[in-house]
Amino acid sequence: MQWKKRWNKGWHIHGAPGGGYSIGSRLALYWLCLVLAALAAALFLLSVTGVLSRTARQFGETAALQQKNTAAVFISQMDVLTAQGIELSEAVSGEMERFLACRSLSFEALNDAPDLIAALESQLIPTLKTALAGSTCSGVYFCLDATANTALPGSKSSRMGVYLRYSSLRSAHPSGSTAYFRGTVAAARENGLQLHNRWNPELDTSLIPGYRQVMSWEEDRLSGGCLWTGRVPLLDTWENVTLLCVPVRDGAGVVRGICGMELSELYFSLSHPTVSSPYGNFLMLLAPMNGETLLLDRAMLGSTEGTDLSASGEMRIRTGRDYDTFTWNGTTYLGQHQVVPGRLADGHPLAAVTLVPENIYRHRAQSARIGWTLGSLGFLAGMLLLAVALSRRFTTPITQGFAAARSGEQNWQPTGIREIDELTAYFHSRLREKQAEEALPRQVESLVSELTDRAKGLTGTERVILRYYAEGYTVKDISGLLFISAGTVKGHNSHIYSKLGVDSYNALKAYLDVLRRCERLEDLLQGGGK
Amino acid sequence: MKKTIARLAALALAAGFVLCLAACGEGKQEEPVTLTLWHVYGGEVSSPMNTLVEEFNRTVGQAQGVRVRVDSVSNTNSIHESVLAAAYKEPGAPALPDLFVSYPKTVLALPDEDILVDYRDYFTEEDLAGYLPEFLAEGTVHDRLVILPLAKSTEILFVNKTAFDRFAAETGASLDELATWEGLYAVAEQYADWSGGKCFFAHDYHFNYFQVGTESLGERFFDEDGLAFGPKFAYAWAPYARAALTGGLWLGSGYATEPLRTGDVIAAVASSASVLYYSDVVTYEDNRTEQVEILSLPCPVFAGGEKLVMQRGAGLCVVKSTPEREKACMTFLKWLNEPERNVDLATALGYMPVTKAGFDRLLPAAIETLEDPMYVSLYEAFLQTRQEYTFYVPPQREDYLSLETRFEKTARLRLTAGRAQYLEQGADALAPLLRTTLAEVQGSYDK
Repeated sequence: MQWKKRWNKGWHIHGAPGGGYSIGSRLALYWLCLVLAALAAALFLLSVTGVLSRTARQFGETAALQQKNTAAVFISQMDVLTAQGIELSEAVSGEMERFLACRSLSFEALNDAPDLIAALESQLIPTLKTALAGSTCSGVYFCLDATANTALPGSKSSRMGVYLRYSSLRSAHPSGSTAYFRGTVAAARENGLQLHNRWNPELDTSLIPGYRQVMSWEEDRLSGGCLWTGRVPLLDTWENVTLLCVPVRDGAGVVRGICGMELSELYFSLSHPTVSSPYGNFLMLLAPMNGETLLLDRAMLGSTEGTDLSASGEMRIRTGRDYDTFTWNGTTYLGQHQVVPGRLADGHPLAAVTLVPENIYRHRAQSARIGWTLGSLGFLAGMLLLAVALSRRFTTPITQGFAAARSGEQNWQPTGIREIDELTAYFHSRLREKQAEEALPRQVESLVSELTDRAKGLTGTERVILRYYAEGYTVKDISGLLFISAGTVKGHNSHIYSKLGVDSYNALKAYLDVLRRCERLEDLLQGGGK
Repeated sequence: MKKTIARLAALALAAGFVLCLAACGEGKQEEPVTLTLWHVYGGEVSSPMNTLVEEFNRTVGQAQGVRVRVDSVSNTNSIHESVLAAAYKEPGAPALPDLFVSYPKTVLALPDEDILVDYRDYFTEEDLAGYLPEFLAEGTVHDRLVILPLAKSTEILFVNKTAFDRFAAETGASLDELATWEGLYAVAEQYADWSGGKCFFAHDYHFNYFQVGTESLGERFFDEDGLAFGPKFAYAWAPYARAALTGGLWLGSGYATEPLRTGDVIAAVASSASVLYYSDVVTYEDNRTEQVEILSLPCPVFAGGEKLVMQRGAGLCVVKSTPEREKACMTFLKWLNEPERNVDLATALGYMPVTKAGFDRLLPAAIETLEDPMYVSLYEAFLQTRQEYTFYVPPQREDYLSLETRFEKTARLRLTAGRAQYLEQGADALAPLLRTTLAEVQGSYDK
């Protein structure tokens, strides 16, 4: 109740005569409360209907902003890796040229020469290790168009090369032990590398989409010959990868193989975590597009935390005004997509996609709506309560003021409302003026006062007899009324006369008549005052 | 008037609450809890564990709003290092996953064991009574059950029978000789001589050979400060070092699967679980491949020693988080360890199941359905091992991993150097090298 005390205290300070609030300001405050209450009611209605909570347009703007970031991240990642792939290609090409030149060998001499292949691979492993350490990828490889044994069945797609990959990937900044996935055993042991559990000495080029395209590339600029495989399974393992394929040329410009970087599904997922937003976590995808369909079975997915999305099947796109709607496996996602530069082996355009599950978006939007509804409801209730309180505060002093005005008391308390206090003060001043006008002449007043004072000395019986006289009764009447003798009445009369200072019955009657006229008779009969 | 306002306010409030409750009802759809898992079951190869995780996500997980994400499939040593790096908050270390595979040695090396959930808080006595008690005991660290058994393995001798038969046909060697360490190392020497210096045998953990061997001969392998290096250790050292110096024992680092796959060895002692990584195809330097038969046999023992064999197989730890996440972890683990599923997982990975129902009732039937000859052979050896051997569980020592790592490096390095000396100096150097290499290994543990 501390606030109430402060409120009352402030009220009285400001409500002192001559100060205080006006009725106008009180009314203004009251009406302000009612207007705010009306506003709260309007807010409440808008909240309930969802007008004030997240709108499709707001979501569309947020998704568009995130989409820009997603596309920029993917484009930058692919650009950087392509540049590093070209650098690797040039390094592999240079090492290979030197290796062959030192031995006066042609490239074809590598065929059916396991020792030469092992020696060349061993020489190239440090280059690969450097590329792996300096790139934001999960593996690196090179593959040259030669094989250790042309006599074997399937030798046409078995090509020499080294493929290194991180064996334990747990963060977006890969490091740690390197597994030797492809390459000769001798080269691995010479370089202290541990064979991958599904190691093989050579790469199977039939499993690399786009290998033939890159090998048949004849243009001048290396960057024009680069392409991405799309998501492919890594043979005999649980992982899926996307490979960048860059042509490796000899000094004469003949493409002798390919090299590039690996982005494993796990690495991609770790390096593209979800991005939180008021509408749920945005997911990032890099997926080939076929018309209005995203080919998820060949897509790379960023972190899908909090969703059931997986890299399988197809995702249908329905373009909308504010955002696109994506349907996959019976689940709807909302977001945006755009085609980004990047050549895929199968010729499909590559899309950067930003998504948020529709149910999560709806849930978040619903929460916001509930927040708005409860907030406006609270505001409305608060305003109504304030209006009631103000109304009570407003009418109470008015009632008090009227009571004070009616009472005519001199020590009335100001109400704090200027107009009421002024009105009460006016009534009181009028009352005082009226009393002054109705006062008796001084001598009469003096006489009346003297008689009244003297009447204080009368006994009870004398006072009763005096009242009978004032009411017009005679001695005989009084004798009968009081059951006493006329003599006894006369005896009392003499005492009354002496005490009041009158000398006869007529003088007493004259005095009583004066007092009656002055309206002071009652003062005398009651014994000298109230 | 006041009454009207009060009634209006009450009406508005009531309407608002009704609307909010209705809205809450509509918005009950929530994001699933995504759990991260680091495991070892199928590192670098197709993983049966990942298949089970996908099945869980599709079924029970989807129904209960739980999603498990495999963030790493590696080996226990890598996970050990990563868990410690994360627990010590080392620069660049990833955050701890919700679930990870671990041996007690990892738990003991944690800065605070309290970061792990005590399974007794979530499993009833009835739940736990379904597990084999010795496996639960192994997962109990400082009176808290922090490692839930999932699958247990033991050490098995894998032999490339195709290559061994060729060797045996010319030398008269027999598989029976591989029943004892003495016999195996003698065959290894013989093979090296026959093949022109090629290795015969690889062991995943030389440390385990000495640990189990010494204990089987009735001597403590560890003392308070580290390794005891008693007379029985020296006894185990002699045939082992002799085979290594003469070229019959593989001294390269890494798992035994590697030289077996490249034909560099034809026999290996490894965890039964490594069957997943064995290939029945050997690839030679010139790209030729050969289809071979991989035979599994019980682990060799010393001629005069007890039939003791290492029990292996880590369990799963849950990192403390929120009650909601911890509960989600338990939902996954209880689903995973249902006896039928546990047997399916165990037999796909070359492990033993951990529940009583799985072991006694379901495993024999599951073995009968195995088709892959490599797995059939493995489970025959498994059952023989269960019948004839006593399982040895390594002690829970905080310095266990460091003792093991140092031994593996030192022994292999000293013997590799000794082998070079042997090749340089000839057979006369063998006896002194046996002594000096032992002394060097012992010397590296001097306090």
